[in-house]
Amino acid sequence: MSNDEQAIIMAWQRGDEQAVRTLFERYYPRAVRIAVLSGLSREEALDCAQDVFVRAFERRMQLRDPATFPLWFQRITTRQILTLLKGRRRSTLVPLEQSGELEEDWGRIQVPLPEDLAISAENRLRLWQQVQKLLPKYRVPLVLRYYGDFSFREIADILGQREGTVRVLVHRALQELRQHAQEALFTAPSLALVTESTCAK
Amino acid sequence: MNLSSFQEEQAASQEAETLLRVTLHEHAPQEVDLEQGWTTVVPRLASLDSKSQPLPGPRLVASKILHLPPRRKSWALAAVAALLLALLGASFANVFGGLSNGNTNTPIAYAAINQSVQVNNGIKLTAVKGYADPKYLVLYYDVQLPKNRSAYVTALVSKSTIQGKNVMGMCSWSSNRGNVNPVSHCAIIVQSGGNIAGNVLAVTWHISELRLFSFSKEGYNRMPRIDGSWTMHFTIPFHHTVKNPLPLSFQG
Repeated sequence: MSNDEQAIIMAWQRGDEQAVRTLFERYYPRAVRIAVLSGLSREEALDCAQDVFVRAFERRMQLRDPATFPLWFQRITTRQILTLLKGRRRSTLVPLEQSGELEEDWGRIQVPLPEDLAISAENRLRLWQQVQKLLPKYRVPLVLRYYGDFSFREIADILGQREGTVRVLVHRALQELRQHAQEALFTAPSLALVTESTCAK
Repeated sequence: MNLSSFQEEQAASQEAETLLRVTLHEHAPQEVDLEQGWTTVVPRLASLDSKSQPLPGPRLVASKILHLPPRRKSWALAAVAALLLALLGASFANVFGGLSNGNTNTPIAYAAINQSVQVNNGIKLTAVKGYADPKYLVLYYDVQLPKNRSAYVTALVSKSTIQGKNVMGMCSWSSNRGNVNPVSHCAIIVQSGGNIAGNVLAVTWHISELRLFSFSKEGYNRMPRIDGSWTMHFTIPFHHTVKNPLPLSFQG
């Protein structure tokens, strides 16, 4: 993080109006996008991001090192997203450590998707539909990893879980996507691999 | 597992990760109304500010406004409304002018490349435009098919490397209607190798395989392959500030 950014965060901690506005412009849109990708509706995501910004401001003096702000802010965002998602789904989630999933084969942590899927807008749409079907416990780390560009260690910190647990969750998510993608390819062969578009570039 | 199959699996994994990244970027809301959010958040921050302990620095304008006498409060609120309108106008001007770099909603200025190579069978490959920052390198390219090759409706680069890394793109396509040759419009997004000293990035794009798609009653399932070796060297401006999330204007 640059010295300028750290200075802005320190000014934000002091309650400086300009710094508050600057951080809002930088972090609010991203929080909304991550919330939508994680499974909240657009309206819920806007409310969630606003709540997070207020909550972060309320707790700003708890942030010891300004350089850790992005991770700290993301932790608050993700926990708020998970709270809202859990409020929707009243199903009981078994902690991963108790589910036996940690005994998975670690050699296959990166699961390839069918190459053909990389071709068309239609298939990207199909992949997105599969992402939407993932349970929050898989979807949230997947979004943090492939949209937020966080490392496994950072995601573990954000979610308050072990790094190994996060690796397994992401692995599971990719595995589910691959499985559903393959099923879709076999069950819907009439769907074209390439779609027409107006291509207004 | 032998070395080559391991390498193939690694390459496939990278392609899958790229696909997932592009899909997520594509489905994230592109437009987020900052002003609407800001006007909702400010009163909440101000009420927090007034409840919490005194801060060493200056307080929010909104917080001060709330403590003013009614008559002065209305003047102050009018001034804030005017300021918000001015900010809104400025943000619109920035969005449409593409001038600002600080706002995450602002489109990226992609640099034109317009470099072509002639592939076998009359197929032309053109690097159209690019963007680079410490995290991402984005390349838009076109694949143009000859008019007489009407059996094939689209094509894409299926094996290539940028800066030595295996990459694979996503494509849309325009159909062969009228006198226009069919062209696939494609985009590649890869993770770049961090910051560099200068403001210009020299890019080497090496292409080793293209795939053609033809239409049949069963769908788009025939994929003839063209193997070869074509290399493009070009430079694009390097932006030292990371655009995260990266706005993609890919039309798919």
